Amino acid sequence: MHDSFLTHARKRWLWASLVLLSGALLAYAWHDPIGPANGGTWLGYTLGTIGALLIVWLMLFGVRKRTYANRVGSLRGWLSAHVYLGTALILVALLHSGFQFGWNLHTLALVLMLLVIFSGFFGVFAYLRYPALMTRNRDSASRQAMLEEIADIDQNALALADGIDRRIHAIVLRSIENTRLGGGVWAQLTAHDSSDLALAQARQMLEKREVEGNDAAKLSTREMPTMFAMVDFLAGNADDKQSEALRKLIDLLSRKKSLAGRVARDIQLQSLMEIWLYFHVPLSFALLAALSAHIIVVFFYW
Amino acid sequence: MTERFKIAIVGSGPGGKSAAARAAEQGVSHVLLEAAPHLSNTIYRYQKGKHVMDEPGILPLRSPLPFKAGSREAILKGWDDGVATLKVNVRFGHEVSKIHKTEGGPFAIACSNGAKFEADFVVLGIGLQGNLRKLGVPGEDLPQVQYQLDDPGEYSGETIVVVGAGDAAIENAIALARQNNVIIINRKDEFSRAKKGNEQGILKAIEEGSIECFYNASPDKVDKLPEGSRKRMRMLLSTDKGKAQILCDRVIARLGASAPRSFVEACGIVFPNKDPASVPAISPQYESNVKGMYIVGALGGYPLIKQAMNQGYEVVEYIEGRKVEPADEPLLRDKFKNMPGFTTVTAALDKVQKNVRLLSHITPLQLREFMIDSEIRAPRAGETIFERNDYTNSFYSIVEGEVLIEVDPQRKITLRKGEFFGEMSLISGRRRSATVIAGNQCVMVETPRRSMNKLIASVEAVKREIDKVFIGRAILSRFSPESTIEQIADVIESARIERFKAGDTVFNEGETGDALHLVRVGSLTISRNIGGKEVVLSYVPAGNYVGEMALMGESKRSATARAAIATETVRLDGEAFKKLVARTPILKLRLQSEYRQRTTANLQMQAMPTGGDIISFLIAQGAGEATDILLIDESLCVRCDNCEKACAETHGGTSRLDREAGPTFAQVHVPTSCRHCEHPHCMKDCPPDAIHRAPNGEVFIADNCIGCGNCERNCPYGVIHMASKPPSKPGLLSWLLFGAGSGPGEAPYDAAKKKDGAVEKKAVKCDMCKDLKGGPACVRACPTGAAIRISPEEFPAYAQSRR
Amino acid sequence: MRWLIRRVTRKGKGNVAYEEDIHYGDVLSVGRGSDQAIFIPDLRVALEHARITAVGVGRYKIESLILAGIRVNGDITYATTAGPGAAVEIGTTRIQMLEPPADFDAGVEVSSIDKAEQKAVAEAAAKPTMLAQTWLARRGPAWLAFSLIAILFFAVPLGAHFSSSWRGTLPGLPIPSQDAWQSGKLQDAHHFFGSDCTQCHEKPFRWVRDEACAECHAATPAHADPVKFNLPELGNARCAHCHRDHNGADGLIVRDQILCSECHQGLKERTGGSSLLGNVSDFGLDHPQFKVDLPAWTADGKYAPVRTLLGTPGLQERSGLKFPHAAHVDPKGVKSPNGNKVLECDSCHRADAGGAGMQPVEFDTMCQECHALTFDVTEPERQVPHAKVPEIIFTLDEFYARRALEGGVRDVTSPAIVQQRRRPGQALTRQEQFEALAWAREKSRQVAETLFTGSACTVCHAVSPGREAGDPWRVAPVRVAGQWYGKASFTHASHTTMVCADCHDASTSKASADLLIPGIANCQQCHGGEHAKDKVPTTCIGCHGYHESDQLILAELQQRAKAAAQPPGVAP
Repeated sequence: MHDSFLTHARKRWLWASLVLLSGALLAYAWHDPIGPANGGTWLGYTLGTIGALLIVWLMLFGVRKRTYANRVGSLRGWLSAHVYLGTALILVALLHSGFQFGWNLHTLALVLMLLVIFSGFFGVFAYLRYPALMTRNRDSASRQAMLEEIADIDQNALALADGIDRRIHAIVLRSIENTRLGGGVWAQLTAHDSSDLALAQARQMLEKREVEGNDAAKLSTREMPTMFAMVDFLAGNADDKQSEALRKLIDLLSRKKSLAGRVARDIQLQSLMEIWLYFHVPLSFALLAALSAHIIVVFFYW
Repeated sequence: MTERFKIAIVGSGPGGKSAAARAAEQGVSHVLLEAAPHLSNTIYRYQKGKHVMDEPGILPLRSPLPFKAGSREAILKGWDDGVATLKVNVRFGHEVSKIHKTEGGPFAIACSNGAKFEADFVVLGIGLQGNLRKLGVPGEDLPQVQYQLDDPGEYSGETIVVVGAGDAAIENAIALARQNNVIIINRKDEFSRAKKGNEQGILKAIEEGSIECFYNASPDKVDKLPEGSRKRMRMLLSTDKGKAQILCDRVIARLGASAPRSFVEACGIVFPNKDPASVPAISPQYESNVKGMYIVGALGGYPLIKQAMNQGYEVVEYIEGRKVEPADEPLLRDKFKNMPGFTTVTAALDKVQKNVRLLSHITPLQLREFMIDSEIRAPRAGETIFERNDYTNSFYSIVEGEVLIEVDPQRKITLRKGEFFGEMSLISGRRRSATVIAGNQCVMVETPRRSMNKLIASVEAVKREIDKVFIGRAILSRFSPESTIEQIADVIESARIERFKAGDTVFNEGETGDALHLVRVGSLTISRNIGGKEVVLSYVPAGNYVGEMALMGESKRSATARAAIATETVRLDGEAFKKLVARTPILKLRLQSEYRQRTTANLQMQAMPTGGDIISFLIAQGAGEATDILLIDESLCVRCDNCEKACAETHGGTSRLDREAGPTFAQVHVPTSCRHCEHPHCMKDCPPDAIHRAPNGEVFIADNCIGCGNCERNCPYGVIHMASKPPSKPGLLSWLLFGAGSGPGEAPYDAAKKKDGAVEKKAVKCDMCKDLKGGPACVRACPTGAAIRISPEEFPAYAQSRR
Repeated sequence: MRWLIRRVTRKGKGNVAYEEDIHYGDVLSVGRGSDQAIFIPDLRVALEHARITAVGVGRYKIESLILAGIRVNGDITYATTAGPGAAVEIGTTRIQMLEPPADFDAGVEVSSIDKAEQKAVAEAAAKPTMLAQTWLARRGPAWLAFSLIAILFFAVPLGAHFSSSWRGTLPGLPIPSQDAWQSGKLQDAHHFFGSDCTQCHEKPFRWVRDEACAECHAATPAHADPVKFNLPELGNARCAHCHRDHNGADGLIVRDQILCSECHQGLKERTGGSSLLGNVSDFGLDHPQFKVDLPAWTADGKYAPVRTLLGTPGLQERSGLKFPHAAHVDPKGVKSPNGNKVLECDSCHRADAGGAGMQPVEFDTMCQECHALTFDVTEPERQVPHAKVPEIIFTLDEFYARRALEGGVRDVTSPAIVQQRRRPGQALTRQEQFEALAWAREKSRQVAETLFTGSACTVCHAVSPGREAGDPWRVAPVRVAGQWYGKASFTHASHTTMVCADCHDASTSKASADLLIPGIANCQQCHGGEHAKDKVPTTCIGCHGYHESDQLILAELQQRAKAAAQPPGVAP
């Protein structure tokens, strides 16, 4: 029933591009130009035209994707074609170039094209791999739901901590302050839990303050990582009621930690599925510029 | 002392107001009694700036008061002015508590505020909304004690007491709590009356402390505090812990409305049946069974403003003994004109009622109403009326001539004058089971689903008759098309209609089978207990039957049949059915072949229990009543939300589906999107009858939507919302290249909204892009093929494909 | 110290109500503890949360008592001093420092942050959870990349095309110059103007014109005279047809035979017989038989070789020499004064420096050893010089005159005075001298006769008596070595892997009239056309040159083209 874009219409576009490729290869093998093989021969011009048209068409995918009323084929079909023909483009372009490379505009266009295509390959990989991971990670709870649960846990944790000891309360308070999910590009891509970062900052600040000899709140560094602090406290001075509550608290916080981890992971997967586009698209426009320049130039200096 | 008038008009809704105005115009002595402190409370309570429609557009308005589509404010103003200039004798704050006819004398009318009136005629225009319950304690009418809330945004920084535990109260409280200090007062100790979402919402708010709640509390009195004190007023209440007082700025009481039926019945008016949807029977002059007591407007079964106003006008004319041609006369004439041998409307109506037994049970007024909704059709012989598998569900009564029902090419049944057809789809909400072709000089009445259902609901006899015919035909078409009604009379006799709620078992595995069930409405799942786990084997939509296995070979039920949704089956007694089978050998063969197919299918499903799980999951999501549901394979979905964007872009800027929301099981995700139910909940209560089903099954909302929001409330899947037409966006390229305006899926900046809140809002829902070639945009716009739309019949196949 | 604590209780929009307390003490404690000066009943606040100390008028020291720190003016801090207006946000409460009011030492305003604001703050504090919310973008970078490439790699070099000053400066700069447009490496010779494209590409969207080439290659011979052969299309042949630059290693000259063969078809007809060249399309398959320059001489002895088609029957080489190769290259050797001697080809034929032709055969080093030029038995060592008739005659005269004057010649036919021995110092009378010399003259004439007609010269040469006195004998001119393929460039140098006999069948040649120059068939054993698989692929320019015209050079050709282009009457 569900049909991936790779298997769309019994891989119609895979076959299409294979035909294109074999055609190009045969022509190239058979063709014996005057002088060396390059874009200047009739085959070169033919392949060049095909390649240029392909590139323009492939870039039109961005438009087609957004013209929703468009009835020309389904978007899945277009993506399928986009992927397969895009891949075929590699060989078409190489044959067009006659494997002549150099430090010039023409090779630049080729390189840009390859970059675009390979960033696209990552996109395909991401589209095939990450969705399933994402669902598994979410475990049928939406991100919003997880965030809300975290918020609830925070409230409960505070309430609990307040019943135990002011130091614990302070610690929990801090750990809440420090839980910030998401962040910059890198933070999102690496699913890195910024609460640890915040922890480190707090440690620095603390040390700084101690150097300054500020007598305000002489807190031992043992208290830094929330969990350990708890356990220490548990080990040390705590009556049964407290330690009971403390255990609950620790359960809560570990639950929260795992939740936070899952949200971070969710963000990561999402961003992994998007990040490549931020290269794919700008590069393709660079390619468009290089391509147009290439075409104009070769006829400018004929 | 009691005042005496000729006409007392109760309720200043469109109908009552119009009547009073007419009376005033004619100089007839009259009084207009309104419980609220202003005219036509129902419309007054519409949300600010709401655009009010004037359906049905074709109907001419006859009333001294103006009315045409426009904003709530404009219309109310027009009426107030009209009432003022005509010097209508209106009494506000007079809630009529009792009306009774004194022997031979006039009506005695008592109001809850003690006022008493006498009148020769009474016109009831109290509508169906009923009257808002008030606090019923001293101070209930203080200016800061209000019974509705138009715009929560207009208050901030106040301490507001909300009284009530219903959805309205909770929604108001939560909305107000955003920028006010809110206290909610609940007479009980829980919010059980409210919708789940609201209940959770309020409990969360209370837990967070953003809303304070008094349980088991009821107000004793509200009184105003002297100027300059910190709060405006004080509310005293008694709780189970004793008395308490709250200083507050404002009290908002949402105590619901007192349904009018009891009151109306108290006046001696009888209703045809217990069905809450039914309305009292009234004469063509709108006179009820109580002499001299007239009923206009929604209470009389006329929910639309214009109709009600016309009735108000007409009823006064009748009382004055003047003969008025009903406003719908020209419309009816127009409808009947293509009916052969048409003379006058009345004649035509009589003819219809004479010829069609089904319609003989209803009052002339109901008939007029019925005919207004219906169409007279006189198709040429041989013309196709509808095709097999069309998704139409209008109902046809044959006035003259005959039609051919083509069950299958070789077998045609002929229906003659007086009979009716189309009831199958009407009842099952499924595709047409046969093609119907017009015979010679055939004239018939085509009635849309809604008006037919209204009729069935209000007239018991009609219901009975239709059911009887339905059963007969169902058995015939399903089992033995060869035989005639007479031959299967015994089976029909034995047949009973049984109703099941979602999840009820029709029969259990292992029981001895004594009956066969033909699904009439809804659908069943067939499941089997495998290894202590109930595994769904198949899905039986309406029009199919279950339980024949037990009647054929073994006598024990081989599986359990459960109602997937609210379901009605025709229960055929086993013995009678066995006889039928014995009589018709072909039937035996047919049953056996279907039996074999079904067993093999079941075995396949048993081979892969997970498939069964998927089906039961889908059924649990209410997919059972769907005809077409959107599914997303999350192992393919890259969360690009292009489906939503596509939907928004192809439907005026608002997406009708929410991809993220909705449950997921085994990577199958059921997003929040319309399933185009067999019996769409949204269609239930649509004043202008704007929701229709297209021939291909799409349930869509037509442009004559008046934005009342009923469908939004009625949809259990929350796939309908109110939206205004967004301004047009800049071209796609200018966005792509220069980021001009808002991109696909992004809500466009709405200049109109900024100007005034009075942009006309209408209900929007998925129409499966019926106007676009190539199917739903959401599916077409999915780049990875994650989104598909399938119908429940395909579930087993789908489940197998998910292996 | 008197503190003013002003509590704000909001009511509705706009209108604000205050409650004011007075607090004594230097420090203002903030927290959830009931003992705190500013008491905030909010779980998110610690019992002792923060501390505000007034340091001087309108200066406040704000310290956090908890690890998380507190938010002052939006950012977390542990301790800071601030002036009036600074706001501390704790949970849902905001504490704002005030300018100390009249008769107060310090003042703070405590207000609650309303829910809307809290939400806004929270949202502001929340970090982005989607890439779209970060600095990443697609449209901007796309434009940037697009314009960068367009400017650097198109606009700039384009400018350089139109402005010579740019052409000068660009290559120095670290941005792309016109070199970026070069599709490939230039031929080495063109490097010195390589970075100035306009040298060759004068007009945009035009082919490179031949004039551009002729700027330097003026004196290069043209191919043939289009007028003479009335082949206008010959004039259309562009340099670029055969010379494609920017192909780097592949060099400048295109070797494909099609370039020549498409024109070298039916030349005879097309030129109205002025060209005699046959059709050629492929050396291996379709190439006419060779023509060689056979030695020949005009009546007055001027050398005028005759181009002759090889393989025409009865074809004879007229080298003017009698020389049976077979006899000389006899593997058993030839008799010589120093016994038998085996001769190889290169005993006589040595390739010249270029390897194109052969060095001339040297008589005195190669032949004389056997073919001695002796003339008098009494003095066998004495020989006449080779090939110089007057010297031969002189040598003989001088020899016999001396013998006669010395006397003592044993020759009975000679006069007595010549036979009688002389005593030393005995002088001859004038009569006797006259007689002796007369004999000597007669004797030398006889000997010469024998040399030229009998024993010596005629062995190899054709000798005829001279027509007038002073020129007694005439020897026919000889040509054995030289350039045979006049129009092709054959060189032995590149065929050193072969032995002479492979091409030249000397061993069976009895007469020197046999033409030992091989025909095309011989070459085709090894050489094929451009597409030959099993032979050496050889295209036209393997043997032939293009710029071969001996009358016309490119410069002239272009002069003509210009003149043709100029309307008559306009001075060029």
